[in-house]
Amino acid sequence: MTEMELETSFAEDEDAPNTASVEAAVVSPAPASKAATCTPELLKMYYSRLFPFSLLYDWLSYGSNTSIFSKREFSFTIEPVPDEEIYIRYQSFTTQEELAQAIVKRCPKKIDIGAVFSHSPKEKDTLQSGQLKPELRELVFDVDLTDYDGVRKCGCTGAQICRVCWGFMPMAVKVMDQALREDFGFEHIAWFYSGRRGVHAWVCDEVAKSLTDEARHAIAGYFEVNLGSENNKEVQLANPLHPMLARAYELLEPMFVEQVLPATGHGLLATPENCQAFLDELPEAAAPVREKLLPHWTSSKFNNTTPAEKWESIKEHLSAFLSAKKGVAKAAKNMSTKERNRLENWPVEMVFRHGYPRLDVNVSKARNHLLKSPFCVHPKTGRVCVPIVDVDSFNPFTVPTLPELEQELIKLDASADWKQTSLKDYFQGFENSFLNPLMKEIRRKQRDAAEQKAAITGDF
Amino acid sequence: MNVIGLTPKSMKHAESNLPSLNWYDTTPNYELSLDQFEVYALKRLKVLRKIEQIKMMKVTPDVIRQKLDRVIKQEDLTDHDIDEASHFILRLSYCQTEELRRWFLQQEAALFRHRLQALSEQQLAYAVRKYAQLQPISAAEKEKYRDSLLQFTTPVEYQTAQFYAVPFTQALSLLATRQCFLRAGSAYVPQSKVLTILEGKFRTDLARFLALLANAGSFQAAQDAEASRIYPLLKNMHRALVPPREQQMHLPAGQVLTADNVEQFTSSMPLCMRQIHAGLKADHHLKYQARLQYGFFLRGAQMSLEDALLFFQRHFTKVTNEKFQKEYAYNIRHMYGKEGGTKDGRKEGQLGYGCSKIIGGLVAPSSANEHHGCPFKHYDEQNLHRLLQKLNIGDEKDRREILQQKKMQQYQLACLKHFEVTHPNAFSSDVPMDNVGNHPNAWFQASVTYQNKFQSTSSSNPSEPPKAVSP
Repeated sequence: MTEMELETSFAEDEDAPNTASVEAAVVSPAPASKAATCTPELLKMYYSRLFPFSLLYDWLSYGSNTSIFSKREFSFTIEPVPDEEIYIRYQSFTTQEELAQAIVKRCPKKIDIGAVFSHSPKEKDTLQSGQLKPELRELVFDVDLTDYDGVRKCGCTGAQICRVCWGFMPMAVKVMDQALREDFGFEHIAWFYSGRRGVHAWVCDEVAKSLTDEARHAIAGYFEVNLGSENNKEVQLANPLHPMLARAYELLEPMFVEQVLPATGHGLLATPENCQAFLDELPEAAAPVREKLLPHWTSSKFNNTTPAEKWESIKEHLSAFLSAKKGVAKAAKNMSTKERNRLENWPVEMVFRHGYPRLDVNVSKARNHLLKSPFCVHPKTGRVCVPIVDVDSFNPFTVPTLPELEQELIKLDASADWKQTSLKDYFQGFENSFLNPLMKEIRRKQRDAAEQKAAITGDF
Repeated sequence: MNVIGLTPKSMKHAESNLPSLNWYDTTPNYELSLDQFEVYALKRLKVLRKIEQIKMMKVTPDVIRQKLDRVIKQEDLTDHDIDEASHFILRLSYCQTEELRRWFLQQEAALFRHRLQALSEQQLAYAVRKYAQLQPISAAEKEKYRDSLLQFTTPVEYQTAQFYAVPFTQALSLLATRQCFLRAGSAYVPQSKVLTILEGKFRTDLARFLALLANAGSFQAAQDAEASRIYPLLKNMHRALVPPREQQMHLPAGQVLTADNVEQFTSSMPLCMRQIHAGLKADHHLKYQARLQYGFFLRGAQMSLEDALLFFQRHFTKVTNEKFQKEYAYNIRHMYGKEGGTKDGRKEGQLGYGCSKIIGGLVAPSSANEHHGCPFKHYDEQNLHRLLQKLNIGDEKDRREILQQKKMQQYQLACLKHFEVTHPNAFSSDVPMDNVGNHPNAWFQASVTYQNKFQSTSSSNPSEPPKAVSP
C-alpha cells in the first residue's frame, strides 16, 4: 500500500462545536496558514451567487409558511478578525430572504443547523430560562473516517483521506440507509458529504423529527456495535446475530472481499506478513485452524490463491473445526459457550471491524445537538458539502471547490447561478431524489387533512 | 370523601382475571375513615420503600420476588381496596415535587413489574390485550418473518410463541439492546419480553397522571375546607417511616470533614463527587449546578459552613476575595440555610442531592467545564470506560459489567457495582449499605466506614482493598 498516492491531505482541525451554550465566545484561534481555498472573498462569491437558499428554505419549511422555519436554530462561525473565530448561536430567521441577507452579510466560515424550538431562538434572551425547548429535529447521523484510523491500512490518518479509505463510507451509508428504510420505515433520508472526511445523514420523516432524546438514545444503541479497540480486541456479538446485523453482514461481506482484502484495498490478505497478522487475530481457541493455514499462506504456496479464496478458505476451516465431533482429533472440544460463540461470529467480527458504520453517536442522541449545514463549504478544503445521491458513484475528490467554482463563474454572465455550474448535478439530484418526494408527501397529507375537515363540516 | 377531586368512572371492582393487577385508571369512590386513610398510605409506603431497598441488594431475582411477596402480603396490598386506595393517596401526596414524582413513579413501576412477573402466560396475554390493546400477530405474519423472529426464541419455543408488534417508540429499552425484531417502524416483541412494553405503558400513563395532578394544583386544592384535615398528612407523607436519615449520612463518630482534609476523603467519594472535585481542581472553578451538587454533598457529610466557605474560596484561586464574597459566598450560605427567605435551609439539599435528582432532575451537563450530574448517566460509554480505567476501578471484567449496567440505563446499579468492586466483602461485613447507590452521601459514609474497618490491614486507598477478609 505504500505506493498508494494520497490525493489530498488536509490539516487537523477541531470538530463541530458541541452544544455548549457559549453564545459569542472566542472558540479557538484558527490555524495560522490559511489555504487560498476558502477566503472571505470566495465565500462571499459563493453565498451571494451560488448557495441554494431556496432548496434549504423549502426543505426546512416542510410545507408550512414560516411557522416551522422561523423557530429553527442556525449558528454561524465567523472570523471578523483573522485567526479569531466567533461562534454565534441561537440565530433564527423568518423568511428565506432574511436568512440569505444574514448569511451574505456575515459570510460565516461555517453554518450549523440545530433544532426547531418552541419559540424563535433569537428571542432567547426575552424568555425565561427553560422556556426555549427543542421540539422537532431531524434524526441525524455522522460518520467520520477519523474513527476508522485503526483499520485504515492505506496510510491515511486523521483528516486525510484517499480513494481506498473512502471505500468505508459507501459501506457505512448502505448499512445505515437500508436499516433506516427497512427497519424503521423511514423514507425521507438525505445524505451529504461533510466537505472533507465524512458523511452526514438527515432523516426527515415526521416520526423521526418528533423523536424524544430517549428514543434517539435507543436508536443509537440499536446501531452501536462494540468493535473492540486496539488494546481490547475481545468482541462479543450476540449469537445468533440480530436480523439487522445479519443483513448488514450479507451486505458488507462482498464489499469486504472486493475492497478491503486485496492489494488494491487495505491488503489484509495480500502479503504473507499481512496474512500472518490476519490469522493472529483468530482467538486462541481456534489455534488449530491457524496452524493449518499458516504454512500455506506464508510459503511459496502463497500465490496459489487469491485473497478472496483465502477468505473462503479460512471460513471453511473455521466452520469445519466448529462442527467436528468430539473425539475427532483437533476438534473444538472443551470450548466454553462464550468461546464457541465468538468463533462462530468471527468472520462477522472481521467484516464489521472493517466496514460496519462507526457512528459519532453523540450527534444523534440529543435534539439540540448542532450539525453542519448541508450546502455550506468546508473551511479547510473549500469543498461544498454537496448532497450524495448515489453513494457508489460519489467521488469526494471531484466535488467542486470554491476556486474551481470561481473559474466557472468567470466564464458566465453575472446572472448565472448554481444551475449553470458543476453544482447543478448535485443540487438537482437532491431536488429529484429527496426534496420533491418529501414535498409531494407533505402536500398529500395537507390535502387529506383538508378533505377530512371538509367532510366533518360538510363543506365539500 | 372523594379526595382526588376527579369524577370516578366506576364504583364497582370489576371481577377480572387479574386479581393482583390494577392500572389505577379509575378513581376509587368510597368512604375511608381518617385512620384508614393514614394506615393504608403507610402500608403502601412500606412496600415502596422495601422495593427501593431490595433493588440495591445483591441477591438473586428469586429472593427478591420472595421478599417482595412477603412484604406485599404483610402490608395487605393483596387486598384490592387497600391497594387501590393507598395508591391514590400516595399519588396525591407524591405529586408535590418533581423529585417525589420521580421516586414514586420508579417504585410503582417496579411494583407493577413484579406483579406482571407473577402472571401466567394466559393472564399476561389477557393483560396485554386489556391494557395495551394488543393482539399477537397473525400466524401468517409470524410465518412471513419466521427467519428473523426465530432469533428471539429457541426453535422449540417458536412453535407456540406469540409475538406482538408495537410502534418502535413504545419498545425503546428493547430497541436499544436489540432485543426485538424491527420492520417498517414496528418492533416485534416476543412474549417473554412483552411485559417490558406493558411496564413502559404503565409508567407513561402514571407519569402523565402525576403531571396532570401537579399542574392542576390538586395538592394545593386539598388545603381547603374539609380537606384541611388530611392536608398535613399528605404534605408530610414522604417523610414518614424514614429512619433519621442524617445518621446514615454522617461520617463515623470522631471524624469530621474540614476544608483541610477533604482531599484525603476523595477516594471514598462516589464517582459523581470525585469528578466534581477533580473538575474543581482542574478549573479552579465550578459552575452553578456543580457547586450546588457538591456543596450540598459536603453539607450532608457535615462539613461546617465556615469550612465550606473556606474550602471553596481556597479552590477558586482565580477569583478575588471581593468577588468571591459578592458572587459565591451568598450562594454557599444559602445552601446552609443562612440566607434566603425561609432561613431553614434548602430542604431539598439539606441532606445532599439524592441519585434520582442527580440522574434525572438536573439539566444535563452540556460542556466540558460543567462537572455536575452522574457520570454513569451523563458520560458516553467511551468516556466512562476511559475514566474507570484511569481511576483503576476494578479489572476489565468489572468495568464491562459497569458499562453493561449503564447500557441498560441502570445507572444506580452501575454505581453500586463501582462500590462493590472497590470495597470487596463490604456486603458480608457490617458496613451500612442502605442507600448506597441511592444517595451519594450514603455511598461516602459506607466507604469511609469500610476504610476505618479495614484500615489496619490495608492502605487507605479503596482501589486496593484487602483481597481476602474472613467474615
